[in-house]
Amino acid sequence: MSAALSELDGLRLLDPQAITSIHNRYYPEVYRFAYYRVNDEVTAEDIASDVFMRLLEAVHEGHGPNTNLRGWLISTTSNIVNDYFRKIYNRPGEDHPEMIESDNLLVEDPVDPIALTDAVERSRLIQSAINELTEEQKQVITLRFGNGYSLDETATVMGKNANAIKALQFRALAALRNLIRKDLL
Amino acid sequence: MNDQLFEALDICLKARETGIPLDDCLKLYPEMASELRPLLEIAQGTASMTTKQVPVDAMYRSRTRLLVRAMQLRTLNEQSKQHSFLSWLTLPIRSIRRMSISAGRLVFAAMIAILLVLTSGGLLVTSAKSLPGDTLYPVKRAVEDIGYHLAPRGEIQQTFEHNYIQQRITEVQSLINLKRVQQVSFEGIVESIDRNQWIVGGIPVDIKSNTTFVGSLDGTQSMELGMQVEVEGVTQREGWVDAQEIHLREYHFIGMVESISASKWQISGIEFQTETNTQIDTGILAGDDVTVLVRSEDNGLFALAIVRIGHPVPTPSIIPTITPTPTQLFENQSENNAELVITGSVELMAVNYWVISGQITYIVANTEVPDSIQIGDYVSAHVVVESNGSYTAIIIEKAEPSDHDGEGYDQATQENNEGEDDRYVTPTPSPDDDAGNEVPEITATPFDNETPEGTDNHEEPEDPTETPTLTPTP
Repeated sequence: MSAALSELDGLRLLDPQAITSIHNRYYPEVYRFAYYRVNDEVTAEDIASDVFMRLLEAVHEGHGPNTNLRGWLISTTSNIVNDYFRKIYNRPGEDHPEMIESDNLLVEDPVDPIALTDAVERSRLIQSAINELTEEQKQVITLRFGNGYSLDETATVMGKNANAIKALQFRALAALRNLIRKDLL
Repeated sequence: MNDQLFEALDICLKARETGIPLDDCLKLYPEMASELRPLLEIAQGTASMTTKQVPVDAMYRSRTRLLVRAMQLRTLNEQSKQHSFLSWLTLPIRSIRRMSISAGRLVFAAMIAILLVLTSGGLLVTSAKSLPGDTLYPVKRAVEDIGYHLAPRGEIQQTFEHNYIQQRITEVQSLINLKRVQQVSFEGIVESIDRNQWIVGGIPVDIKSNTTFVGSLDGTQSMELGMQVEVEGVTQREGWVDAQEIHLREYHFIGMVESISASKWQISGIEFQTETNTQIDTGILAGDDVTVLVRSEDNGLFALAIVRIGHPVPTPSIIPTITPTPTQLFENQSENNAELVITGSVELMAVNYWVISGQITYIVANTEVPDSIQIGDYVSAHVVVESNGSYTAIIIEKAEPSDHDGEGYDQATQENNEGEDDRYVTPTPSPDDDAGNEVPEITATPFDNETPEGTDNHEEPEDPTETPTLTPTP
């Protein structure tokens, strides 16, 4: 691919090198975002893969991202995660994802059954609480603490300024605290 | 106050990221500590739920899926230029996208499985017979693409590719027979060049004043016989293809090696990519003069073979050697051509050449080859020896391994030798030398003799000097 072509230009031309480059660069971030929200490797893999497929289809149909590719990817990931939870909640009688125990939770001492139980319970509570936040609050929590983005990176992805993100993360944490205060703290 | 709280929280979060204990962070803002503490604890809890590792195999699977889809979309793009009404083809994909994640995955896998079944001769027989311009033709091409990409790399994938190239030629021939005007693209060997009338892969091609030539190293339109090209153009009712673009795909390049790396060679200023199946003479060093069999792709030049100049031909390799130039038979046959009969097992059947017991024999448009011959069959091939020493097949037919032991071509050879006719080639090696050897058995017959049996009554040539003695390559 010519060096003059940007990633997005290459993507629009369905250039394999551009597609590979974009995928390699952003897949880890998309996967982490999805994993943080669903806490399940297989589901996170499905979601991450779907995000890039949607990107390809969107670009092919002429309505993909124009400038903020990372923001588009994160936003799409968030939408797919929400769809996923919506469908899960609409299936009565099945285990909800936050009920599934994971070995990647807040386990401080894996051999201590009490610590393990506490960790699973804390994670379940936090995850459940995150799902009750507003969409922007979910995103800021996931980006800041799931993906480890800085304030500025989060602001860029969400299309806001840093001060707005500071306020948003404060309110998101405060909302989380209120949601799980009685059970966790 | 709120702004101060937001700022204090952010500073404390940054401090926590660097490993500063919670209580130490709160000492920075003692008046807000009661409000900040629970938020920082929550933040710590949420941060602990993340994952540091991204599964590499998941990433690989995702990327593969993405690139396959991109390839499909590219194909659709090309086809939609001709058939805008075929957008229904993408509907299944769009439907999958709108499905739930797990359902979409299942349906995608099912589609692949179904397509695999269909490629092996199932329900898409109709589409398999479709031609460019037909409604089902994109389905046929999509099935081919999936089959190709799912095939194991190496010879099997090459076989797929060769079959598809041949398929395109057959389609163009069918369109011409049906007198249909249709945009087509096909790849083939340049078999004949007569001013603006070319024959490529057996298809007559009319070169127009506005025909574009792409891929020539020196930027000129210097096309030669034997080069492999891709023709884009429009079939005409009169029985040919009006060429819009000619892409040079395979040709020979002679130059000096300037640098060698694992996957790239610099030869006389041109960079060639090599792959695991590139045939490379051992011991080639920088400064050596070499001949390169080049494959020109959209993403660069690939060396199919790099051999020293003077490399002996033929070699017992499935990769074609450099020197042969196949020609159109019968029309331009000169008296200087001699005919041989090669017998042996078919080791490889490529589009434009076969390997018969290690001997490369070129196949041209009017070579007579029965469809029933397969790899491994024992065959006899009547070939013409070209001026450069390569063999071009006139007719190939099945033979019994015992044929060469009895009264067949060997007998004719014996008589020819006894007659000391200069037109006849001394068979080398003799069939009696080593019956189990991989080297094909080569037997001489006169050129103007249509059948082996006719050699029994062959008359002495009137002027033997017109037909020089040929020495078959060992």
